[in-house]
Amino acid sequence: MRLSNSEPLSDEQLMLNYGQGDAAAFEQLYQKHKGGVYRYFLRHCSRADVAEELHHDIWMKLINARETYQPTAKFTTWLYTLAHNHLVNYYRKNNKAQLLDFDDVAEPEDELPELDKQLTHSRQAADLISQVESLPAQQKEVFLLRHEAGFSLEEIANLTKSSFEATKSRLRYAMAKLKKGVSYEQ
Amino acid sequence: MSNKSNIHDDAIGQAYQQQSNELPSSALDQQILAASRKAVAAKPTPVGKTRSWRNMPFIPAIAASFFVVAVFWAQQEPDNETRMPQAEVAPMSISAPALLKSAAPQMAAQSEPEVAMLADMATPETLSPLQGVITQRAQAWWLITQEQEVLIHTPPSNIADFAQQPVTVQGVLSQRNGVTELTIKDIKLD
Repeated sequence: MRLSNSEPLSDEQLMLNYGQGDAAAFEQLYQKHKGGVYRYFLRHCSRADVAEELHHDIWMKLINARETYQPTAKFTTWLYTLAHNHLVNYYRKNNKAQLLDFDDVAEPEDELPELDKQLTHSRQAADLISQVESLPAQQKEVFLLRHEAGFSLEEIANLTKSSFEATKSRLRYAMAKLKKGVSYEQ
Repeated sequence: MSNKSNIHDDAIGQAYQQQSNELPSSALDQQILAASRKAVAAKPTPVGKTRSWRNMPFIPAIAASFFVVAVFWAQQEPDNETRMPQAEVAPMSISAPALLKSAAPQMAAQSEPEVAMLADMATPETLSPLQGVITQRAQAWWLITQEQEVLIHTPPSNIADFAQQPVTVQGVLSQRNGVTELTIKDIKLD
């Protein structure tokens, strides 16, 4: 199957086509996923230059792996697994591996404010990004994979090699902290 | 989580996605896309497809070249059945008829008259130096060795200078009508 077909191709098919020499297939993949991957790194590192370096590394890995790619899983799972592993290595190189430790404290649910109304204000939304960047690394990881890449909790658990329950807890803690953080900004 | 908290989670997620819109620089985009194009341009062979002879048109050309060279070489090579056997270098102690016999082993299987006839027609062979004495008999010059007497065919003009003297002669030995003849190429006094 080639790109001349009007039917949109899956990410997996695009990657296979790129492996067979179709450079336009890679460009489609890149345009579709570049934002999510870049912001995944940017939120973790909070530095555009580092995020660009990591982003570049990941896409180069993908280019180099074009011939060996097998669609045994979703393309995005493969892409973000590469990104996750690269981030772990980045933390190790910079002696920040402890950031991946799970150091959450549970937030009581009954203290949650009415954020669906609060977040209509632009300043609060802008503050939300800084709140995300200040999350503990593992909570941030789960949050970003959920809201940047669109993975389900089960997919996130598989990707990060964590249990489903632990993943679910991390996301819950992350959301709780974000809600609390934004409410304090009012 | 309660329904209330789920609604809140969705609001958080939507708010985040609305605001989270940073992108890599266009320079980085171009760098990555250029690398992706270069990677496939450097190796246009599709992955997963086995190599085909059709993808290597130079292989038949090379094979054809080898075939032409082989045919040309075979035509230059003398046929084994028509090639005359190489004569052994005759030692001083071997007579010319014996040498001729050894040079044509297929003759040994033939009858004696046929051997004699074939010997008369034998091709001259180059020999190692012969040692003997130059002697003139009945207007002809001979080289007398310990084993045989050889008629000197077309003797050199200075043959008389070597008369009755021991010499070493290099030349071509042949058998004609039962007489061993020698065409001298070089002659030296011992």
